[in-house]
Amino acid sequence: MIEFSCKAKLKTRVMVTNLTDEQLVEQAVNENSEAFGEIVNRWERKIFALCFGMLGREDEARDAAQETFISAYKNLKNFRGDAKVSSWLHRIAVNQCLTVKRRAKTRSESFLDDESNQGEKVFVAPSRLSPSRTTEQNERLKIIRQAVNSLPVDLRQVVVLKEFEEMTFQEISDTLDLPLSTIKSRLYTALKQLRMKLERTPLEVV
Amino acid sequence: MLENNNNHNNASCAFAEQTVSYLYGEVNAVEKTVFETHLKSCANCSEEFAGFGAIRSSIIEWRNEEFLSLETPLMEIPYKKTQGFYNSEIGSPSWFDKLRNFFSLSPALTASVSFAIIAICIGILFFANKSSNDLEVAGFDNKNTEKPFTSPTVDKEITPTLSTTDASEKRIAEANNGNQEMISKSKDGRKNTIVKAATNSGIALKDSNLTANSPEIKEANRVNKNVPSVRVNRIPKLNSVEEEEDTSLRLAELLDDDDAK
Repeated sequence: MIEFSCKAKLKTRVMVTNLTDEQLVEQAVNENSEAFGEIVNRWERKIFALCFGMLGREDEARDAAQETFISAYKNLKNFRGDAKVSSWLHRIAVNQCLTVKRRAKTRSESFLDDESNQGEKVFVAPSRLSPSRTTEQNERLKIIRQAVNSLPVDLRQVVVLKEFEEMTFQEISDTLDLPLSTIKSRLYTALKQLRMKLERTPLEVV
Repeated sequence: MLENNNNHNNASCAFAEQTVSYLYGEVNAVEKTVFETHLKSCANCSEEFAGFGAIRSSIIEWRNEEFLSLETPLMEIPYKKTQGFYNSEIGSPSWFDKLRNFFSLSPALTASVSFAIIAICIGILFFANKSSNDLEVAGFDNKNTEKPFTSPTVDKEITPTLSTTDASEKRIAEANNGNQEMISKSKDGRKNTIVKAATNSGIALKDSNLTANSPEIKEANRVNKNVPSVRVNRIPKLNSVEEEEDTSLRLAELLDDDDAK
């Protein structure tokens, strides 16, 4: 009997694995817990990466990712089939990141305003580096983190999707539901702005 | 320098997409050749491309140092009253969902399980009904278990023979009424017993101490008139009874004697 239930569970698990994101959402709307679990399993890492890149802090990124999936589950019935599930999830995630950042700003705990206290909590120094180099690296990482966070949301989003989620231009275009040329243009603009910001800093960017 | 940059921006707009495509390696062979040729001839684009490369390296370093070492957090979606929330890590559905998932696996399996359940229920009902019928045939009735044992009755009138001996009186009393008391060996008890036996069976009898005018005899006669013939239980055969000499006075003889007097 136990073996049979394990086989049944495995069969159900295999069934949901073979479905597309849209089919999984459809099943999740019909209160299929396995289906929504599969959606989470597929996208939790990428959504977490997006949130980290947008916010720069692990704890805030964790909260934003959690809220993203909770909000997605709440609004399953509102999901329209015209957009992709990945686009829908990324849109929710970006909105959650903005909400978290707005909340942090309200509490005067902005990451950009008070970098000195937060930087040490975020950075994990590799043990193989010498202390002097670690300090230099810390500074470099801090600078780049600040520079990315200072970008406008639409530009920052493209940079994070490209570098943290390692998506192709086509995938970013599909996710954000924007033309391919728009994506490339935004990334070009973002890199230019970052270059201008970093060229003003005293430390040399490697 | 700013004007130069603006001019360069206007001029490099045409290569903006190619720059980022080439930077991230998403160009085909033709586009790669074209852009590399342009880089050789345009110092600004070369410098810009180098700057972009450095930026990208810094971002990759930031990602590697601060993000890759992080574990993906557990996405706990708590159950709430409004909708069916669940823990995505465990994914524990309710017993109803499990039952529904079990029966949704295969229609053939569902049908076979249902048939088996129905067959088992029918079998239980059948055997239960059969066992109750068997009990009725055996005559086993729980309601009669508490009644004392009574001697079997027969549909035949038997005229009891009476005698003055204790054994005969005892037999008469027992034959006529299965619930009578044990006969006392005393004289009074014997008389009373005889009267009782006679009364119950509607038989008038004569005793050595009893006369026709005895109130007991009168009573017995009175009862005898009103009581119809009574079925008498057959006395169970006993070896001692048959071997004894029948010295009991027959009832008919007693009645005749009484009438003669």
